[in-house]
Amino acid sequence: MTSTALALLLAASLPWIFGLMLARWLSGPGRSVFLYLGQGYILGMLAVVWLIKAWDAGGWTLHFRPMAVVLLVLTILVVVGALRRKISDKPAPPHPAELTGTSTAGWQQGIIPLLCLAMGAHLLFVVQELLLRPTFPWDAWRGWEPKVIQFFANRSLDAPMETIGNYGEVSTLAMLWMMLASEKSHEPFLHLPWLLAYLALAAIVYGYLRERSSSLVAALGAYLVTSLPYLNSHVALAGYADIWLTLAFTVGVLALSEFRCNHRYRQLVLALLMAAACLQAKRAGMGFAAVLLALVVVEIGMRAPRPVAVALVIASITMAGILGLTLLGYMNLQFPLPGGQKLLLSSSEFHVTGLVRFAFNPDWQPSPFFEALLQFGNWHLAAYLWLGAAAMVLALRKWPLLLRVENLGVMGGLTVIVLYFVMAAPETALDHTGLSRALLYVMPLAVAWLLTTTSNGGTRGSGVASWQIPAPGG
Amino acid sequence: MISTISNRDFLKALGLAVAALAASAALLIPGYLWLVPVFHPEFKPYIEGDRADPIAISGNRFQPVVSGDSRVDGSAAIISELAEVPPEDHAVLVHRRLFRADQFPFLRYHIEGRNPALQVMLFWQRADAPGENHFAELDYSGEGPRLHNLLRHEEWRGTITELAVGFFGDLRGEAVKLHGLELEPYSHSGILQAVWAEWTAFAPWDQRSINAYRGVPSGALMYPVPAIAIWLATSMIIILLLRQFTRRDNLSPPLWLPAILATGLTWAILDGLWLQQLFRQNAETRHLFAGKTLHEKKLADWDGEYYQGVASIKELAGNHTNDVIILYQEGHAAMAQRMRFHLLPQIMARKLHTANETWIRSANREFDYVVLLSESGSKPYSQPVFRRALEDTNAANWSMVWTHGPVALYATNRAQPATGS
Repeated sequence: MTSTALALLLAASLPWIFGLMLARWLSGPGRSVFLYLGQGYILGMLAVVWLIKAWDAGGWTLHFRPMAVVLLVLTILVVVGALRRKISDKPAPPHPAELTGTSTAGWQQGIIPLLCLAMGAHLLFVVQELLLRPTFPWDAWRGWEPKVIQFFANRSLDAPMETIGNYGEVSTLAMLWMMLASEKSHEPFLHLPWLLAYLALAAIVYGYLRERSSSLVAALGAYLVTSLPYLNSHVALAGYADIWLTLAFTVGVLALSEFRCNHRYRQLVLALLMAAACLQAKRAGMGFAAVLLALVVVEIGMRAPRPVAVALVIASITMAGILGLTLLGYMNLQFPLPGGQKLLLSSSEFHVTGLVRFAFNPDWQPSPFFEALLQFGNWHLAAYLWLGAAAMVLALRKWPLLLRVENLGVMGGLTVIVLYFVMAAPETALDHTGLSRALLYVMPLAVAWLLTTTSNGGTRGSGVASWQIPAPGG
Repeated sequence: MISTISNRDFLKALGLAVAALAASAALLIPGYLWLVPVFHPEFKPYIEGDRADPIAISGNRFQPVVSGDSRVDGSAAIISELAEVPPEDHAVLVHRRLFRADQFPFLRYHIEGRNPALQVMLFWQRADAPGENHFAELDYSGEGPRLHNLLRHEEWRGTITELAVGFFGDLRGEAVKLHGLELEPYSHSGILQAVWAEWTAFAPWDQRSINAYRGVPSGALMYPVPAIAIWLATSMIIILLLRQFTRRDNLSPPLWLPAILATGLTWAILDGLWLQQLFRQNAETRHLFAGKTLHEKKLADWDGEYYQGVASIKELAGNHTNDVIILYQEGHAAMAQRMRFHLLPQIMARKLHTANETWIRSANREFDYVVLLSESGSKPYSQPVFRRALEDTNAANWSMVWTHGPVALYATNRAQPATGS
């Protein structure tokens, strides 16, 4: 029992520590530790996924200890690298809260514990559900967990008993990692990575907001995200891949937002890694990886010399035109992919051979969108507040606030969601089997944008003053 | 910006936020009640028609028609055991009475000792369709009297001749006490109580829980999120208006603080509703799984009836890990997939299929063992599709290795017979 607990502790902490150090290198020293924690967990899990794949591709039998040793060595290398660069690396600029003073009134000191208490209540409830209940979600026991148990039994990524074609790799290999560590195949605690992803999401939102505002606003952001009922369900009933995609997309977009502020090119690397994580999380991640790539191009374009920026704009317009003509049926697109696969896009389908096929069958049904966003209890008031804040920004003509990267991520994500559920799978919107999951991917960003916008009017980097309504005469 | 706000300003802003929310509620609730015929036209005849006196029926006036063990205690009926009748244990108590449904949109019920594993249904029969039962599930909202909106069910109409209360599922060793039912005419308080009962109704996780969290049972009068969003929006308008009156007062806190506090308070109310759901769910989860081994947890899970055969099948067919097929009764694919999951990693059931002649024959060629799954509460041999095949020596010619409940393990004529029976 003790050895299992120790192995689980190691399996949970080692990738996180590795990811944390990598996050420190990518985001730069002197940043909020919560930011590193949020970025670090998904980076660590990405490292586990790639390590297991590389190990299996190398023909070695999958065992926890040797792989853990490799990860430990990599961690030590990153730590040593970080220590050696400590003197030369440029520290991040101080965050606004430091510049404006840190004195907090008593009421703030009273509210923060209340927020922590509320977060603790959510955490306690979802932890109990996750640790007590055997595998619950349909997709898990029907499809991908039987596949992982075969990986575990065979000690390789070989699953002769066919259960599911493709369910992304992050869920499957994160669970395999826990199985290899604990030598168990059915225990509820194998779902611990879902809980840690939830904590990482809270950490990234807290860390990101803390660098832009007070600890009260940061704690409020973490509370708003951790209290989202639908996110809680995805942790309590752990076993779906959506939380990975939510975490990766959130970390990627916030890295790009940071890039706009500090122009640190390693943030782009982080965003690209998160695009890869989106792709590996589940098939829906393709659209969100595309949003991240598009945002990377936009941010590079904004920083690039004028001729490069002009070339990027022309290339983007050309690509949009080609996509438009393809979807309207005037042409078909076909690209060769590595491994002999092909990507085909026409007005009737999107097809990556051997991986995914979406037949386009457009059907615009607004009611499921209205229900999932504004009627159901999924998001408490988050969707209303996002819409209200956007309306307010428009009314006050503070257009740049709408173009903050967090909000571009939300709008890009919503575009993908609408396109997918109108073009490819309107039936899964109508029966509410897929729509809320997709909306989950953008909700933490909506909360982050809402709070950065309302707390300081996006003063950092945006050049926009607070959007408080001025008092008459002043 | 926030750090410049003093405690005094904060309290003023909080006061303003609470006042705005209270004022907004004072406007919205009467407005909603006035507009009930518009929002819920099904109530219009009940509002405009004559109001009948409520009909109260105490528990002791219900006669048990199906019950394991029931008795009367004062004015209440007590069910201490359900009848073991397939497909689900249940008890039904009936009361015959003639009245018009179109006078009573609400049912107030007081049932003590409910638990999430026990469904409580109201049945009724109408004069225009004698012998035909219509039903409504009464939401689980905890102990104490609760109100149910009967107009969620379109069959609630005409002349009612009989009412019955059915208890289905598991009493979990506790007696359930029916204090009584009361049919109530339309009232404003009835609408508000029905809304609150729907907002606080609890349903344990099911397989749809991962798809969306609706927040209310199907057919509820009002979703909490849009209702509270409208409440918040109205409060914001009130704060803006109040600000107009106090704008010359330089000591007043900034506009945004009361607005943010009002937002925070309304979010907290919604979160309170959600935490209450989580709290009840946790109590249910702890009841089912806390302090148990994995094996015991799986036995306590929703498919425990099927899982209880897994250990035996693993032991008996364990040396034929890849030569097992699961054949299941039509409509029970999920149980077959659960069985396959539970059997791993020792046994890899390569094929799952509905039972039919083709697969029953091909099992002899390709597999050593067959796991048969029938519907809950039955035995595979009792199902015609399995029985026909098992009795036809040309088709199956299998030997039974083990059977329990809806699960049976057979060795095909390709297999070496295993021990046990």
